[in-house]
Amino acid sequence: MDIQRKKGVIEICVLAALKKGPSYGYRIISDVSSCIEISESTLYPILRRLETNGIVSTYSEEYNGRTRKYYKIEQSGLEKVQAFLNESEEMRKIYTFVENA
Amino acid sequence: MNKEIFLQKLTENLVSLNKEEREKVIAYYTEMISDKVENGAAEDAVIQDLGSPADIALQICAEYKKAADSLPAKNAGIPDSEPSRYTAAGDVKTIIVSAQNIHVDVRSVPAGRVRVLFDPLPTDKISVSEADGVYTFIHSIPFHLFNWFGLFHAHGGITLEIPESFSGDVSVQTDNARLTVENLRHLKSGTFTTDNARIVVSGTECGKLSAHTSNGKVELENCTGQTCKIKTNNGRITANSCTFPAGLDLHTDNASINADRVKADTIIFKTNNGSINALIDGDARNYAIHSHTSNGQNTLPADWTFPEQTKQLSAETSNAHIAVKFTEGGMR
Repeated sequence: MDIQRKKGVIEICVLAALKKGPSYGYRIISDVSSCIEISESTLYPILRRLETNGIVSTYSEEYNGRTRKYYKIEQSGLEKVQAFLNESEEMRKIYTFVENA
Repeated sequence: MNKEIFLQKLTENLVSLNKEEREKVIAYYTEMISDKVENGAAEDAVIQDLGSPADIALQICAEYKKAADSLPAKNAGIPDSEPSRYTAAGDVKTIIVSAQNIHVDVRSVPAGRVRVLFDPLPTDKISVSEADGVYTFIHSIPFHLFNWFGLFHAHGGITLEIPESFSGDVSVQTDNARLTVENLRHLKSGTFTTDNARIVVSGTECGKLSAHTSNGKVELENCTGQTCKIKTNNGRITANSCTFPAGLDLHTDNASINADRVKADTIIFKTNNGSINALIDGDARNYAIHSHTSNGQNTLPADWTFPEQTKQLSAETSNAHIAVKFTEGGMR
């Protein structure tokens, strides 16, 4: 996949991993990896940007004597996911057309 | 390398970030390593898989720098859609941007407001106003500070972001610097002007498109609309895959005109000392053709007019060839 496209898609996958509930770094990578390859170093800037823009919010929780940072999807994040799904619907129609033409 | 040394090296390599950002990065990797080890991996293997601290730091700092370069900046995290100092507040129907010696990139964004991204130097003079749906951004350099020897702005350029929903008029002007326009859709009109530099317009849908430069080339790619008028001199014009039913007018001097797959009912190609090469998407028989060159081969008839013809093609140059073909109706 084209690298720019991949970067955009990874962001949506990260948001989708948060749709069901707040999550943390390791688990996000684990979830997203089932669909698309992602490294820790790729994930970090994405999470940081999402946090800066209020697309996700963060909080810390104690776990086994250490601190774990949780990411929670906000309304604007849910809207981004929905926009992606709407666009994908359109892409699906185009794909069907191209395939069957 | 063990965990402590990895984190220490990472800290050292992140020296260009501020303390708060650096600590966030370290916290992230500390947590990640602990989680991986807790899930059964050996610490050494985990550290090795993460990659070298220097490479990681490079990647992260590059993201910060990329964001800092394109936004007027607070350097807080990695901003993306943070509103800039020059974001339009209300509903905008007309955009006017004027700059001096700085390149301008105009691009479409899926949502949000009309805004200009620019990091001015202390010597830059900026005036922004918004009234009655007209958003105006004017950049200038005070005359006495005009650097005649280095006509390039020391900083980055101006980026004009236009949301997809915008359907009004856009006018962008700069000089001695390039102008690029990408993926603007359903504009009523677009006027793009510069000097001594090139203009590139791609993927743009604009009712009335006009681009004007001198000593610079103009490139159009995948553009559509009603009319398109391009003027330059000493610069080549290239228009590929463009459709402007009401009129396509490409005018230059001392350079070639190249139009691959263009579709229009009225076409004017005018230059001199430069060849005209075109493939017109249309039926040759529908076009009243007038063409002229001196000292050059010509694939078109000099004058070919019949009453039933509803379209026009005019191709004029001198000292160069005219190679214009149609997709249908002969002259292929």
